Amino acid sequence: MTAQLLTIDPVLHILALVAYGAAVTFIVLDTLYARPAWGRRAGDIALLGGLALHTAGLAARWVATGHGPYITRYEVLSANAWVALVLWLLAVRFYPKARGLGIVLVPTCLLITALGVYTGPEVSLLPPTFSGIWLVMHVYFYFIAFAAALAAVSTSVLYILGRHSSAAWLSRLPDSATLDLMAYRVGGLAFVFWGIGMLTGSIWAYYAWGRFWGWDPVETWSLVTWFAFGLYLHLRRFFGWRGERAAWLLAGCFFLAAGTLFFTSLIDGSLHAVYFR
Amino acid sequence: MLHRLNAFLIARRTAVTLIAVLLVLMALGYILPQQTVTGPGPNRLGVPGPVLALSAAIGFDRMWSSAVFLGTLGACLISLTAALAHSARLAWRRSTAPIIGAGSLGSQHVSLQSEVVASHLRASGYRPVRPVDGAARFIRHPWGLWGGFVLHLGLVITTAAAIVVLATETWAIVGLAEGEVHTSGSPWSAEEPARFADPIVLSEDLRLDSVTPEYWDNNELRQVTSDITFIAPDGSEVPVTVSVNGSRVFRGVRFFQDQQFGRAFFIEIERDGEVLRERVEMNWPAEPAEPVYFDVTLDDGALLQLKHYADVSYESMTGEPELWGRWTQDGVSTESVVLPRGTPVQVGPALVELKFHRIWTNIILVRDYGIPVLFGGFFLVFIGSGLIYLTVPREAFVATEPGGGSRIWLRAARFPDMYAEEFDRLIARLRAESEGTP
Repeated sequence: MTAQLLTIDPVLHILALVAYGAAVTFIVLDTLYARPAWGRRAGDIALLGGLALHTAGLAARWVATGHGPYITRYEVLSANAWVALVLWLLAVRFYPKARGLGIVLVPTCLLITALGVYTGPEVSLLPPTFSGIWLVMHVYFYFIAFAAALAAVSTSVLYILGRHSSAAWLSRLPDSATLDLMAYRVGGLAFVFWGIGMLTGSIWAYYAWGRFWGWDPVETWSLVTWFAFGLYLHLRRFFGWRGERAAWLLAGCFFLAAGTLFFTSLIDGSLHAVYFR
Repeated sequence: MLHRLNAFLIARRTAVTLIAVLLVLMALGYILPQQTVTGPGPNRLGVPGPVLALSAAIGFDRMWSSAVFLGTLGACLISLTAALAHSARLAWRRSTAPIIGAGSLGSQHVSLQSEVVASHLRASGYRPVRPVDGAARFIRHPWGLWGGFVLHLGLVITTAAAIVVLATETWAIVGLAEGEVHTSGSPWSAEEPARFADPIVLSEDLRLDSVTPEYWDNNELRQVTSDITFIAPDGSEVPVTVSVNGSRVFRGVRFFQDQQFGRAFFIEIERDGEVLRERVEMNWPAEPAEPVYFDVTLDDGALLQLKHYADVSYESMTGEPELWGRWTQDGVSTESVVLPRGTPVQVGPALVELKFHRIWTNIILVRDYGIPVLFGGFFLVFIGSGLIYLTVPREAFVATEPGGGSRIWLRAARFPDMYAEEFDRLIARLRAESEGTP
C-alpha cells in the first residue's frame, strides 16, 4: 500500500502540472486578450482540476510517509505552491479583485511545483526532533506567510508594470491605487503570519532542544525577513512610502523570504539542515 | 513632568532607538562566539583573539544574560508598559466615542427610516454602541479596537518573561552509561550557570536505567528514549522516561534527551603483568557499514586503536556491536582483530578483553522560570496581530434627516480604501429596499 501510494504521488503531481499549464495558458489569454470568451471558465476548471490532483498527490504522500509535506524539497515546494493557490482561490471568492493577481501568482506556483517535482520524490523520514503540534503549526504558518508574500510580490509586479507600461491588458487589472492597497494588506498579513511562524517555531525549539532561540542561520534570516516586512509596514504607515518604491521594497521582502525558506537551511551546521535537503 | 516622561517613553524616537540598540546587541551576539553548556560556540566570522578577550571581559560572550542586554530589555519593558497604558486609553476612547483618525468613506442619503437602516447594519454585523450627538453609532468588529492593546499586553508579558528566563536559565549535562548513577551533589559533566540563579543541585541520585535508540528502515535516526530513575535519600525511587522532543519536569528541572549517544566499552588491557581497565565511550555509527574510531593512549605512547560497528551484520543500526582493535607503536601497526565479549585476544604485545558494553547518552537539565508566561505572551501577540489585521473596525453613524429619510456615514479604522466597495454594496442594498426592489 505504502509503495503504491509513493508510486502514484509523482504521477499525480505531473498530471497536476499539466492541468496548471493549461490553466496558466487560459489565464494569460484571458488577461492579455480577453479571449476566448470561455477562457476564464476553462482556466478555472483547469486550475481546480490541477488543484484536486495536487491535493491527491500530497495526501497520498502524507499517508505513505506518515508525516506532512515539510521535509524534502519536493514536499516543501509542492506544499508551498498548494497553500498559495488555495489561499488565492479563497481570496478571489471573497475579494474578486484579487483574481487579477493570477497572471503572476499561478505561473509562479506552477514553477515552484515543477521545481519540486524536478528535485525528485525520494522519501526522507522524520528525525526525532520533528514531532509535536508546535512543529506542525510552525511549518503551516510559514506556508501561509509565504503565500501572503507571493501575493504581495504579485501585486507589486503588476503595480510596477502598470507604472511603466500602457499596454491595454493592464487596464483589465485592478487600478494602481487598488493594487497599492492590496500590496499593503497582504504585506501586513505576511508580517503577521511570518511572526506567528517564528514564535511557534521558538516554542517547538524549546521542547526539541531546550532553548527557544539559538541564532541558527535559518532563525537569524527569518528574523531579518520579519524585520524587513516590519520596515515596509512602518515606512508605509508612518513615513508615507507608497507606490513604486514601496512595491520594490515589498518585492525585496519576498526574495528575502524565499531565500530564508529555501536556501539558508542548506548552510552546514544549521539545526534546520534536515529539511529541504 | 509625569506627562513629559510618558510622552518620552511612548515617543517614536524612543521606540526606534531601543529597537536599534537591541538589533546592534543581537548582531554582536551573533558575531561574537557565545558560551554554551558544552563550551564556546562557533566563531562564525573569525573574530580575532583580542576582540574575543574584550568580549569576555565585558560579558558579551554571554550576551543574552549580560547586564547590557538585560538592561536594554528592561528599558524596552518600561517603554512598552507606557505604550500599553496609552493603547488602553486609546482603545477605551475609541470604544466609547467616534474613532479618532479613522478614514472616512463618505456619507450618503437614503430614503429609509433610521430604524430600518439600523436593522440592515445589524444584519451586516454592525453592533450598536453608545449614540453620538443624536446619531446612532454602530461598529463592525468592535474587538478590533482592542487589537493594539492586546498586542502591547503580549509584548509587555513576553519582554518581562524573557528578562526572567534569560537571567535565571541554568543548564547542566550529565553523561551516563546504562546502570551508572550520578550521585546527588557531585559535579555535572558540563554546566552553564545563570547570572541570577543558583546552580542545579538535585537532592536525589540519578540512575540511567536504559537507553533505546530507534531507527527507520533507511537507517535514519527515529528516536532516542532513556529510562531514568531518581533515587531519594530514603531509598524511594521515581522512574521517568525522556525522549527527544519528549522532555519531563522533575523538581522544577526540565530533563531533555540529548541526541548524543553511543556505546561505552569496558575493556581490560593486560601487558607485562599489569592490568589496565578502560571505559571507552564511542559515538553511535552513522551507517551500519561505517565504523567509528577511538584511540586509547597508553603511558609509553603506544596506541590501542579501536573501531566499532553498530551491528555484527553490518546491515543494521541496532543489535550486537562489533569491536575491533589493533596495536600501534612507533608508527608500526598490527593487524586489526575482532574483540569478542568475554574472550581475551592478543593484540600486539597486550592481551585485550572486552568485558561488557553499555549504551551511554547525555541527559540535559534546564531550570528556568517564566517559560509558560513567555509562551502566554506569544499567544497574546498572535491574538493582537490577528485583531489588528483581520478584524478592522468599521464605524457607521445613522441620523434622521430633517427632510425625511436618513443619512449614513461610514468610516474604517484602518485601510479605509479597502472598504469602499463594502460601503457601496450597503448603500445599494438600502436604496434597493427603499425603491422596493428585492
